[in-house]
Amino acid sequence: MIIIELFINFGPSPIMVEDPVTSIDPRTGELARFAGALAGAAGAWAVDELTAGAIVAADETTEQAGLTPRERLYRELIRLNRRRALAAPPKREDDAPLRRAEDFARRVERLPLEDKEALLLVALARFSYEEAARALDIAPRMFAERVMRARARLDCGQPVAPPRRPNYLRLVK
Amino acid sequence: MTIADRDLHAFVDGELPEARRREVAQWLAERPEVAVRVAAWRSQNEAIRRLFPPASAFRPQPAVRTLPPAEDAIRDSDFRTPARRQRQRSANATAMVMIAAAFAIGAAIVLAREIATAPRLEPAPAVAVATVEPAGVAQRAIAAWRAYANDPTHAVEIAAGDPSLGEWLMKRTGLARTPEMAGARLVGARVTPGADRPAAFLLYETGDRARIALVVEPALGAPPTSASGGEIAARAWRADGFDHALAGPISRARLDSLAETLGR
Repeated sequence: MIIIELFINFGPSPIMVEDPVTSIDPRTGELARFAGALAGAAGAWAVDELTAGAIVAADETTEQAGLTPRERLYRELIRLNRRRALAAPPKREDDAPLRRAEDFARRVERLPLEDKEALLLVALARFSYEEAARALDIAPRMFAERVMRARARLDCGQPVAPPRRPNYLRLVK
Repeated sequence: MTIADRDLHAFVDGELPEARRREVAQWLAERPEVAVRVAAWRSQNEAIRRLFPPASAFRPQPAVRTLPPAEDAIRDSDFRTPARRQRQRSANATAMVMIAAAFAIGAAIVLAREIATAPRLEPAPAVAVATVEPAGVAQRAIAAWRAYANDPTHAVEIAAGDPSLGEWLMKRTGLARTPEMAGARLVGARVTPGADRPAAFLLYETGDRARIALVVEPALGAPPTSASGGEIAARAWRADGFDHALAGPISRARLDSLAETLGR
């Protein structure tokens, strides 16, 4: 009888209701890992801000043509991080050539932002070139160039192209 | 056959169609010097993944909704609307109750028949089962210390002064940074067997000539525990996606203080 009553009275199960305090958006873990790799030097607070901000922005953004939800999420994270990087004071060492004996972690951290984004999208987030190029809104060929440039810098410690500071802002008259 | 750098990078990242992939592999087989570069790029990818461990390794998991242990935690289902999620949960819960009910009824019928028909049995004799605890990183560090630390000529494979040491360790073990220990100098390093993958064995020497080994290997399973074997003690901990064990013929208190200088 108890079993039959269970069938009759069963509604949304109380044991399956999410605790608003402990429930974490399932996208958080993967995205926080990527944010940590991209902007870990800025501190844990910045990583958390980027992660949460990207999720909110991706949820609020209306459907973008040709983008999967995952690509949209990474696009928002990268956009927010570029904005953060522009606001952060520049480091003097950024343009110094990378030494071969330097720690690998430090060399990844010091990659030019665009190259680091490309390499991390492939190596860490395991995007295909096509997916990553869509997330960055660039041509796949240009994306491949960035990956090659990042690896060349990590490989030999020397820049293959003159280092430059990314400029995402345009002058508007 | 023309193979450009672009093809080699696409080869590393699994971007080539199967036929082209075979061509590049064949081409690389005839050019070992290029194959080394390609292998280094693959190692870079692996080192990056180890450098930034999956989220489950450093974030507490929620009690209600748990993430899969796999690296790619974001799934299509994560983008379902709240209404769809609620419907899915209700359906799952109903299915669980139905399965539990079916088992309960079946078990009750079987139990009733057994009680009614089975003769009383003597209790079965107890069987002793011996279990062997698998060795942890601390035990491996003690064994490696015994095998190599006091070898007068070949304690390490690459000496500390060799500029290739850091890159070699990174490629073989994923260890991106050679740890520095205050109060002890690095003698050199070698690669030793780990639980799942090769481990880095770094040998240090203190001012009073005591040799201390630090074994670092990719984190696996439960967090490591410290151990001791005879005159050798080993202090173990987990950090940054790696299990560490510091072993040597010194007191635990001194091992602790040395471990602190490693950023434990």
